[in-house]
Amino acid sequence: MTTVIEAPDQPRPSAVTPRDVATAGATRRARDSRIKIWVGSVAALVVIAPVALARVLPLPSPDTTNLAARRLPPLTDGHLFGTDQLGRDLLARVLFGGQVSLAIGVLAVVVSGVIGLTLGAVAGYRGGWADTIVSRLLEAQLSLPLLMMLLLVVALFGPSIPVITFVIAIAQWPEIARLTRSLTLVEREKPYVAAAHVLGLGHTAILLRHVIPNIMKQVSLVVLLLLAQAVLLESALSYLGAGPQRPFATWGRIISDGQDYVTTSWWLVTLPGLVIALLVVGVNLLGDGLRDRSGRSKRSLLSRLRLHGKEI
Amino acid sequence: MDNLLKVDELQVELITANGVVRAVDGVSFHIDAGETVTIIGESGSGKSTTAMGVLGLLPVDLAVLSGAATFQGCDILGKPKALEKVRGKHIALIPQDPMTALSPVHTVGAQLRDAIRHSGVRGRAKQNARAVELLEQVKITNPTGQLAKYPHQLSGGMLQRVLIAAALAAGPELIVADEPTSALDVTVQASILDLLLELQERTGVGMLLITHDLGVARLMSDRIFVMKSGRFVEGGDPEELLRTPRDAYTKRLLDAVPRLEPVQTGVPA
Amino acid sequence: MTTPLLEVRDLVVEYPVATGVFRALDAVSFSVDAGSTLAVVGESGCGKSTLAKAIVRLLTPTSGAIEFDGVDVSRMSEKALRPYRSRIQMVFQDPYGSLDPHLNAVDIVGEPLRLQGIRDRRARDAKAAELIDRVGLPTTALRRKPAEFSGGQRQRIGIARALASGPDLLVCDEATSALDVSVQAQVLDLLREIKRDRGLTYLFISHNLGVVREISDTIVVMRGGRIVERGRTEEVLARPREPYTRALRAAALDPTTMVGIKPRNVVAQGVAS
Repeated sequence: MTTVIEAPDQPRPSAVTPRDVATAGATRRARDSRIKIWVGSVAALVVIAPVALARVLPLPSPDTTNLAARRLPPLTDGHLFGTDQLGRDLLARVLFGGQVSLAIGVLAVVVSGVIGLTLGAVAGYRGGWADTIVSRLLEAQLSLPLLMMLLLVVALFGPSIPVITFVIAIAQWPEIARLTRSLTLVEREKPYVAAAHVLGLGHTAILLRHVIPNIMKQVSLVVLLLLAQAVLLESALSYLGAGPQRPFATWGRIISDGQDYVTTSWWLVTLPGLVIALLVVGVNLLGDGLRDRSGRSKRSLLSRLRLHGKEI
Repeated sequence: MDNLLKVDELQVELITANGVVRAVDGVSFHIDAGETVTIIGESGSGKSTTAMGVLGLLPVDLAVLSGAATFQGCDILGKPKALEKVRGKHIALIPQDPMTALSPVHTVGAQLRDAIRHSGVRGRAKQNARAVELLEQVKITNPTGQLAKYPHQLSGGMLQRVLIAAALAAGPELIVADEPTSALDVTVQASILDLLLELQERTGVGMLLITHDLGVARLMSDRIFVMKSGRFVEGGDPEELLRTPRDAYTKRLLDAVPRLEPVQTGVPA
Repeated sequence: MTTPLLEVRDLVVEYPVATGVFRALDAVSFSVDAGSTLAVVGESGCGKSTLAKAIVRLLTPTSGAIEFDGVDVSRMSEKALRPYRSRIQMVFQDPYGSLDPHLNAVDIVGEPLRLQGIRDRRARDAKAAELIDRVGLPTTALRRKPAEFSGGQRQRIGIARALASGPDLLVCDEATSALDVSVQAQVLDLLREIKRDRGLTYLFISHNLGVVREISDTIVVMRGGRIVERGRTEEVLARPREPYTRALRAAALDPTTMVGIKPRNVVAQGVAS
């Protein structure tokens, strides 16, 4: 005779303590990604918001020189960041300069995103000649010293804003294309793509309707992280004198202008540098936190242990 | 005399992003030397989690274990030190998917030697000799030649034999086999199950078998437990369970299995 | 005598490999009458998946003919193939990978309807909802994404998608192999019902003899890219002639009718009373 094992009348008490929940991997990971997203967003916003609102904030003009008020330290006479060697308010210069730097950064990242996504997806999906050409182009570019290359292009074509934006976009498309290509290669092999084939969809339609929407999230994360890199590249270029020329005062130029006074008026170099650092760290943290969160929901340990066994 | 393995009211709760999930809800059973106890269930029933919980293979920051599990009288549930002593030497695990259970960048021989070293055999020559001996026990042809091969060069069935050989390295008293043939072709399955039965008859090793396949369960078991949603619903002798199931779920499970009429002529036994 | 719906003649599929060429299908021939179910049985590597892919033209065969309703589709261009696509559909093995994860059920089932020219969104959604209901899913399922469904439910959505094209031939490539046994039974029931209602023809690929017995009329057994035995399912399973078929049959463990199983005499060491 077999034994039928009845369910207990009262459900068994749980053995999970609050401490268990607090120290659990799932909790930690959720908390970590939440903290990253919060801290990252706040840090980035602390920089981006004032920069975006620079025109409506009660700031002195960034271009008005006042030789009587040269190189004042921060927090004197209503100058939060002090003044530079020509008496111009540093905070105003940083905020207005930031508008140019950010605009260039965002534009560059959008352009490189579009180029990288398109070339990477085509290379990954079609394979063959398209893949060979794109991959070799990628590799060639990645193997060149980046800054040297950019300086060369600027030297050849002049340091205007469109050229700088284009140059940074060219610098960044390989990374996006490489990621897009790998993701596309993976998606291409999945049965839902085969199913779309069998339904009669053409290659372009499959790429646009099925593959790209499924990789967009991961690609956009990388694009976000590259925004920080774009701003840094722009700063590097302008620091080296290859950035947008006067009157545009971008962050890199402000730093290079203040270079000569780094021992006497530390704020001319340090404060703009801190602003850049805060933005970059903020954006990176935000991107990391978002990546952690989306990574987890895709491959939860739970689904790996196959505990989602819902019956029909 | 102590049971080989005794599990008492085992409860496994998993702390996930969506709350606490009770994967195993109070499960009790025992295994004596030489016998095979099978836990049968569908996906999500908690059968693998039961085995992993007992063996201490669930991540500490995920699973909260309660209840009791003793091996040869020693308490092992949630006791990493006791488990260290016992895993690999007295209790061995045969995992589910042989294709991914071995490292692809090391030779079969190197991995077998790892298992053998863990059982106390020192010196490369002695380890190789023992490896060949084990491979012979699992009926692999040309054992010396297989040692230098990489996992991708062997078929699924051969890989599973290698894994069984690794499990046997230290002469364990209990083998935990988690869906040992699910990833294999049906004819290969037959020979692996045959091998396991023969090894058991020869060495008297006890076995905890996890499977979803009722046919495999009937072939291999001394006792079967049917598991659903973390609990056992019915248990007992395989013949009785499969011929006259009493629980509604067991009946449903049996009804769902597609029938094959017995073959009528010339079937080799 | 009517021509069979599907006739395969001397089909060969070869892949280039490092050491030359690998013949996945070695001159395979068979036919399937309209309204019947042919099962293709074999173990891994026998070529049954390659055969399924060749028939739905996910690959182009090296040589041979695939005649669907009298027309050889084996080497047609994608353009010429378009009108046939809707007539030959496939249900895939993997419930977790065969549905686009970013679309909801209604859109997944609606896609073939859009391809057929139903441009109006509402009309499409209505028809898709009908199909989703037909496969036994509730209306709450319509706007949900695949991640919110169980394996069996996803297979149902996959079946609804395949039906949306209005096919004559449905290729089921291990359509129930990844499902739990109780769920498998329900999906098989559904497949049988649909076949009756719509007069479909099935090509059912499987390694599971029990399932094959339940669903098919005729069977071909494959091994190493070739067909080794064929005939009516009942006949081949009850009286297998080829040694390989017999081995397959003997290895299939039906728990309720297992015959000739070696009795277990376990000599346990030191088991006390």
